Order: sequence, then structure tokens, then C-alpha cells
Amino acid sequence: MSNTFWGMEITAEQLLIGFGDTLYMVTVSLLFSALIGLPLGILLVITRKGHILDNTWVFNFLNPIINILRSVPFIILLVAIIPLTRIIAGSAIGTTAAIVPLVFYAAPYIARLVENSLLEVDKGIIEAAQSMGATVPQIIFKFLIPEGLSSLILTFTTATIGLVGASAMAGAVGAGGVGDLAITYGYQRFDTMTMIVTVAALVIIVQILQSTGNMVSKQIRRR
Amino acid sequence: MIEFQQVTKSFQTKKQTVDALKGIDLTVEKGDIFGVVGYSGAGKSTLIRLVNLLERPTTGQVIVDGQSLTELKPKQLRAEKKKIGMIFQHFNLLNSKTVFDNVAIPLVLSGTPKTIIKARVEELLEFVGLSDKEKNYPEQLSGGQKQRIGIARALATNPSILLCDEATSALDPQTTSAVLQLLKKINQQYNITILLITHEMSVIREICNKVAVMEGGLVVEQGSVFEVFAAPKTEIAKNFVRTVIHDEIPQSVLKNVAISNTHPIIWKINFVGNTSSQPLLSTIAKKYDVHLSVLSANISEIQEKPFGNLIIDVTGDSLEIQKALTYIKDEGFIVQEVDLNNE
Ligand SMILES: Nc1ncnc2c1ncn2[C@@H]1O[C@H](COP(=O)(O)OP(=O)(O)O)[C@@H](O)[C@H]1O
Ligand SMILES: [Mg+2]
Repeated sequence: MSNTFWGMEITAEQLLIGFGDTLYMVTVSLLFSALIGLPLGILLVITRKGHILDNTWVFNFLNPIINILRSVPFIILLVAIIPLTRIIAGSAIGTTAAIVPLVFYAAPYIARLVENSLLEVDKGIIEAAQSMGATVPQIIFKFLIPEGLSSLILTFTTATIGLVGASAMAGAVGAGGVGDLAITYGYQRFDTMTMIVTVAALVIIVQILQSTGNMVSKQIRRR
Repeated sequence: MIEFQQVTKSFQTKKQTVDALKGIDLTVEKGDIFGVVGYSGAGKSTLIRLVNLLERPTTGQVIVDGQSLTELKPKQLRAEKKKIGMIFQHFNLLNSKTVFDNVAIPLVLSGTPKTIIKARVEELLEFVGLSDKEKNYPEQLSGGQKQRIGIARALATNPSILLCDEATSALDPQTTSAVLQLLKKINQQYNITILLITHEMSVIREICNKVAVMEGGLVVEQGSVFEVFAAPKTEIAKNFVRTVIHDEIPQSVLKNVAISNTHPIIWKINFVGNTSSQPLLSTIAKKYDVHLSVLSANISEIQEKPFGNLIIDVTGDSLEIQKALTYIKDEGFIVQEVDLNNE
């Protein structure tokens, strides 16, 4: 009990490791979800009727898949895809294993948010691009994304916060992280102080993420 | 330069088919400032968007510079589009980019080297009078300034055609005038053909040399601006002309004419430029045995040239009247007989 403080049952080291695990899960799963979600979101926009790559087939294929994935609560998704998690991560339990369901959860979420952000971009801008003879990739990278950037930043802020929350839930399957500490010590062992500290930590993390996101987005918009 | 041949365009919506264009034949000559005027929903935007294939015609051909754009491969089409600039009612500038980058973007798209871009953008900004705004963002500019940037951007790739979709409709009258003068300068200085659409006849009057009037997806009247302003044929063209040129005969004057003569002969004479009506009237009075009385006279402007509008009541021997009429026509004035019952 020598390293514990504030009457908590956990040591400062455990708390630090918890933070590290959370950070690891959130960053890695954010990276993969963005790699999948961003292109999907763009596809959802440009394959829409009347848009630059109008394609009913692709749109009508992607749209329901994303809807279905989006409608499954994370805690169920976590359990439901365990076999898949085993194949991809080699194990169903642990911090790295948690990344698989986290990506399944966040990628469609990001796709939807990206779609919404890019739909906000004025159609007139796309028209101007088309009138200049811009290619499809040029329209995406030189018009759509720069014009939607401020909104995209908020999108990724929301997604990151969603991942912090989900990663805490992943603690239920022994994924580690701040959430795991809260469940194992705070909830199961009635360690109120640990509960308070971990919850406060999560609140602070979310606050910092949100205000950073808002600030960056605003800065871009104000230009 | 731009030729519409039997062009139709239908939009398929969930509920119905909208026939936006129902058979357009129109030719815009090189060097024209061609104006298309019509009420909202007439099909003007659809028409102009066919020129750079923002819309594809349902049937018929749009031929630009001798080429039918619909037959081009995507790559050729993109190259062709660089010869057609376009400006928009709501400017459509990128809010995330500076004025410099906005003007540069068409050049960036075609992979122009940076040093050339810099020189060209500076030249364009100078031309539109906004060199000092290079580093600003569109949000920091007024509507008129934004449209100037739109114009600079449209000119970046040295186009031979400029399309203007209600380019001044979001601007106040003074700014409108300034932007129109800029368009005129572009037309004259760079010999760029301009096709513009508008719902304001004053825009046509100020800079166009030719005009087409659209209604319900059809061109119902077209001709030189002078012709159409002097003698509009269709009801809709008359209404449009009336919005800028007031040539009605005052009611009280009409009454007096009707009292003194049950079948008065009334002529509407139009003249343009510095020819004055005064020598004309006195010459006629001297040469022919007719009496003339002026019912209404006013001078307005078409393309900054005086445009006179004279309505006179003519009495006298019918043979003499006929001779006088021939004389006026031979002198190059446009004369129309006014039927009072239709006024
Ligand atoms: N993309 C579209 N889908 C369906 N209907 C359209 C579309 N674009 C234009 N229309 C219809 O075509 C007609 C002409 O529109 P438009 O060319 O915009 O007229 P204007 O520019 O003269 O106001 C209108 O009835 C309009 O509703
Ligand atoms: Mg329109």
C-alpha cells in the first residue's frame, strides 16, 4: 500500500499505465477508423445522386451497411465480433484486442460524420470546380476537403471523444485503461476514491479534447 | 462561337419530368455581349449551364467554338472548359483560401509553375483593382469585391468565353454598375465573348449588344438590343422594356388626342446616338404638308448611348403622311405606328 495516495487502492503507477492504455487504444483505433471512415464518408457524398461521381449502386451498397453498424450498441458489438477479433488480433482479450471492436464502432461513425461535414460544403463551390474542369480527385482534395476542414475537425473531435467513452467500456472485457480501473476498483471493489479520480480524469480528457477541437476548428473558420 | 441547335433539357424528378428547355436555337457571335433575360424559372440558368456542360442537353447540340462538347472525351472536355470562364450569383469562392489562392486555383489545377502563377494572379488582381486584397479571405470582402475576385478567377486561364449566371443579382445598383463596366472592359480589352443571364432588363441595357428573351423554356424573342428596346414584339419583351424605358403616353394627353380625332395617327420614333429629333421634326414639317405634335419624348441610355423615344401625333393628307413616314425610315429611325386601343 506504499504507493497509493488519496486513500485509493490503486497505485499512481497503475493510474499512469491506465492513462497510457487509454491513449494507446484511442489513438490507434482513431487512426484506423479514420483511414476507413474518411474515404467511406467521401464516397457517401460523391456517389450521391447529382454529385460528382453519381453512382446509385455504390451508394445503396454502403449506406445500409453503415447504418446497420451504427445501430449496434458498442457493448454488443464488442461481444458479437469476438471471433473476428481473435482472427485479426490473435486474441479476444487485452488492450490491443480492444482496438478491433473500437474500429468497427468508430469507422462507420466517422464515415457518417464526414458525410455530414462534406454535405455542408456549398454546392456552388463544386460547380465552380466543375466549371474549371477539375478532375474528381482535384475536386475532393482541393475543394471539398479544404472547404469542409473546419467542420471535419469537429467531426474528428466528436469521434475521438466517442472513442474515449467506448474504450472505457472495453475495460469490461479487460482491455485496460482508465475505464478498466474504474470498473475493477471503483465499481467491483467499492473503492469510491478510485471511482472519483478515474471519472474526473475521463471528464478532463473529454473537456480538453472538445475545447482543443473547437478552438482549431474556429481558427480555420475565421480565416 | 456558341451555338444552340434544337436544344431541349428535361429534368427527371421523383414526381414528374420538368421540361426546362423546350427547343432552343440561339447563336452567340464572337465578341458579343449576349444577354438572356427572363423571369425566374424560365430556364436561363439551365441554358447557360449547358455551355460548359454543367448540364447535358437531353436532345440537340451545343456547339462551342466549332466543337460539340458532348462528343469530347473527359480529358479533352476538361481542356475545353479552361477556355470557358464562369462567374456566379453567389460568387462561389473558397472561404478557406485567400484571395490570391482563389484566383490561382484554375492555374494550380492545370499544373502551372508557381512563378508563372504568381505573375498571372498579380496581373489579374491588378486588372480587377484588388491588388491590395491578395492576402485577405473572401469573408473580409464586400459583395462587389467578391465578384471581382470571381471574375479574376474566371479569367485566369485566358478563356475566350465568359459565362455570367446572374452575376450582379446579389449586388446593389452602384456595385452592379461597376461590375458591369468591368465586364465590358473585359469584352473590349481581351475580346472575350460574354454570355450573361439576368432577370434585370437594366443589365441588358447597360452592356449587352444582343438580347434573347426567355419564357417557359423557349426563346420568345431575340435581336439586337436596340431593335428589341425600340420595338419589342412579344408581351413579355414589352414588359421587360417597360421596366427601364418609360414611353407610355400620359393619360391626359391620350384623352385630348381622342377628343380631337377619332382615328389619330400616332408614331413612335426611336433613335440612337447623338442624332437629335429636333431637325427631323422641323424638316418633316417643312418638306411635307403634315402637322406634328409631340405627345411624349424622352431620352434614356442603351450601352451608354442616348436612346431617344418620341411619340408624335400626325395629321394631314394621307399621301403626305405616307411620304413623311418613308422619309423618316430612310433617315434610319425606327418608326412604329401606335394603336391606341392596345395601349
Ligand atoms: N436539377 C434540377 N432538377 C429538377 N428541376 C430543375 C433542375 N434545375 C432546374 N430545374 C427546373 O427547370 C426550370 C428552369 O430552371 P432554371 O434554369 O433555374 O430557371 P431560371 O434560371 O430562369 O430561373 C425550373 O422549373 C426549375 O425548377
Ligand atoms: Mg437562374
